[in-house]
Amino acid sequence: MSEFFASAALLIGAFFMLVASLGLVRFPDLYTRMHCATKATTFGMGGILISVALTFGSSAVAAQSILALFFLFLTAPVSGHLISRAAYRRGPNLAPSTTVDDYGPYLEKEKAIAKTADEEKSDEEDEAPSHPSAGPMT
Amino acid sequence: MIQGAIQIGLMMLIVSIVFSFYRLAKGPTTPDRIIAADNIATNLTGVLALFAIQTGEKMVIIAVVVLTILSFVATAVLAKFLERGMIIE
Repeated sequence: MSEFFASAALLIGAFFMLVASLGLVRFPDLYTRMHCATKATTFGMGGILISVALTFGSSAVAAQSILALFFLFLTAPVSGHLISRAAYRRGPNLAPSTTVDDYGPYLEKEKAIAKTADEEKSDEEDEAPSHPSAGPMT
Repeated sequence: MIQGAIQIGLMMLIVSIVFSFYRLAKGPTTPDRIIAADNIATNLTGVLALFAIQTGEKMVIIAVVVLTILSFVATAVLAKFLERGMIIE
């Protein structure tokens, strides 16, 4: 019975990883690709690692595979967010079919705030000139 | 029964790695390639887990844990390099 559940979890996990890679090929946009590559792949690895835990049955191996699953669930969304944020700041290559872009106006506002802060800082430097290497951090 | 499931799962994972290599070779921008490389690393951990089931080798699961953490660190470092232009400030 345990073998049946292990086989089912393994097949479901491998199928979801295949679907994730299919989405990586077919989707039009970096952000949609990131979405499928982080979510569906994490779910697929969950199925495969649960199958490992069911097959071995011993508590040590099950604990190690649950640990790997925990790390994967903890790190995959973070890495997806980091990649998409870095890609958007390099230049948003959004697909033409995009309807909602919430990060663009927010980024404009953030840039405006940083610009005014830089201007205030340069005004203070004009009044009291410090050493020449002082300037806005790049 | 589990052996047949492992064979089918390995085929699915190999096809998935081939698709990821297509995106790695074609990908228009650098973040696309990073995502494809991360996907290949995750698929390889899946292959390693299936190998552990097939051979009954228990030590391979530790390698799965290490590869998971390592692929996250690689992706985070590459993302920071893309955003700031340097890794250690």
